[in-house]
Amino acid sequence: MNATRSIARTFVALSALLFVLPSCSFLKPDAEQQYPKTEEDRRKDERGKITGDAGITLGGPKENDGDSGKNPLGVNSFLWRATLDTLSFLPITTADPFGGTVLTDWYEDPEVKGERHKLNVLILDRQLRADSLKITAFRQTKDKAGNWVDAPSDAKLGRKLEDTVLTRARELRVKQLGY
Amino acid sequence: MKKILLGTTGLVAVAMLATAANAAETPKVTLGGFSDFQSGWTSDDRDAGERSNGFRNDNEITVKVDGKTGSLGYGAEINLEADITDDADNQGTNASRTFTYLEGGFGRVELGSNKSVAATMRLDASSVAAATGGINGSWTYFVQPGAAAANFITTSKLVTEHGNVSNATLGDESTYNATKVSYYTPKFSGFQAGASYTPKHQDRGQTLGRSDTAGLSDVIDLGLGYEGTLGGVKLAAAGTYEMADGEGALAGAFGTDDVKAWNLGAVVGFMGFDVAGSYGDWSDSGIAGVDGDYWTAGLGYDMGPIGASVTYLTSDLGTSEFENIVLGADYKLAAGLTPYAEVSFYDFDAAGTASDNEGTTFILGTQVAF
Repeated sequence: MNATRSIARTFVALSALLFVLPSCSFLKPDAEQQYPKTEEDRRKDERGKITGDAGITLGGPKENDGDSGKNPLGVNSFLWRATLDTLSFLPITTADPFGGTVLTDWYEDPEVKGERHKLNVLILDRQLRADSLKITAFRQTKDKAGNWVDAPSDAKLGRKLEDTVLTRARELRVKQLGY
Repeated sequence: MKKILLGTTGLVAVAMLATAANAAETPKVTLGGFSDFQSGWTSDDRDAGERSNGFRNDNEITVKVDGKTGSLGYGAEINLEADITDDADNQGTNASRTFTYLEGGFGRVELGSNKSVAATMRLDASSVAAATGGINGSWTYFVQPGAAAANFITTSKLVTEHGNVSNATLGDESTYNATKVSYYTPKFSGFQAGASYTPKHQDRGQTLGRSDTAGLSDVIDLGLGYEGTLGGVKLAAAGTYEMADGEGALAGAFGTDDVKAWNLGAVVGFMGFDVAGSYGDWSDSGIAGVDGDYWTAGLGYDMGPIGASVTYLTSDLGTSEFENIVLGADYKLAAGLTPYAEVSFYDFDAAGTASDNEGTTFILGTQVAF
């Protein structure tokens, strides 16, 4: 009984010290603060959620994902810059940062003659998410008479380009915001 | 010159007001939860008249409230049990954990029916377990106890988190969430400490514990942990301690003695592999004349969507011995969709043979988290 009381007293004294520690200038709390979670919570965190990182939220501060301060564009600024960056090899006809559209002109790769491509890029949201970006690819080939005729485009080309743009957008965000 | 200075002061004032307004964020409510389907096959010494296969469905809805005002974070968490029947382990009638919290430069305070610091800070083989949690996982739902009642330490937890040690209530969760106050210090160079105080270990939720003649009272849990990286190696170590006063017999002989228990564990991680080990000692188990100890060893592997683990526990409580080795694997099929499989080889060995049981249980399940 006495041992219990003295241990408790020692700990109360130590914890009083710990309350003071945060204000001591020589002992700085770590930059990244984390509090212990239960085992089940830790496992669930690793497995992710259907609803994404934020989950289903009601209320809360308005999240301007990927934007620090004011964003003059109507769409996510990282996705915008990443799109222009990635598609810099194509001639761009229209680039509307408020509507979030980039339309390129027909482009024939000098290495693959007889075939030309055109892209429509739609940025749908202010958030940097996979479903905020939609890229549609169009393809035309030259027929025997030398006229350009519409041809089926590789369905995966749009997805591949979306992945490239998303990766670049995330790189830009990490460079600017650090996460 | 004056005009410019006044102008800039005005701007600064507006900017400061703006930041002050932003400092108080609107509290946000986050809804989440999970749905877990498990199918188990058991083969042991108690098979007579028992089905070898059974299904189980476990669901939970979590409501989290988080707000911030200045540098003070505050909020609450309510883990609702959303099952068709009462929880198999006595976790709670409508909810399993409910608490409010305050967080700031001073650390974090949790108030409510929640896990103690000894439960959240402990490190052992189950810390690296995949699937349902290895030695501390779902095997308890699919295992029959021995014919006669006996006490065993079946999970790597200290007394109040472990719950009832009777083999009739394997994986008992009726005491880990007793209403308590917990405090965690901030992390200083990787070190963190915590303390919890529970007035009555058997009272939770709306039940106010006034009984001074049964169960455990004044439960104090202490934890000290370290987490850091050295080279490419992750190091974590933690010690937890629990003490309580026994007021009198509650269930069986529990409460007839004080509690004094401690646990030391560590995890070392490198290149996706995690090795864990721990030793726990119940020098006073809350049951007069009975003490116990246990140790665990575990190996976990995590690479991309695949997780796998082997965890082992061996324990002694009085004259009872228990051993369990669990192999588990899970696969992150998609965000929030995790199928898993787990097999547990267990052995209950008490004095005599009436409570003995040795067998295997195989669990196949899927967890959907949202």
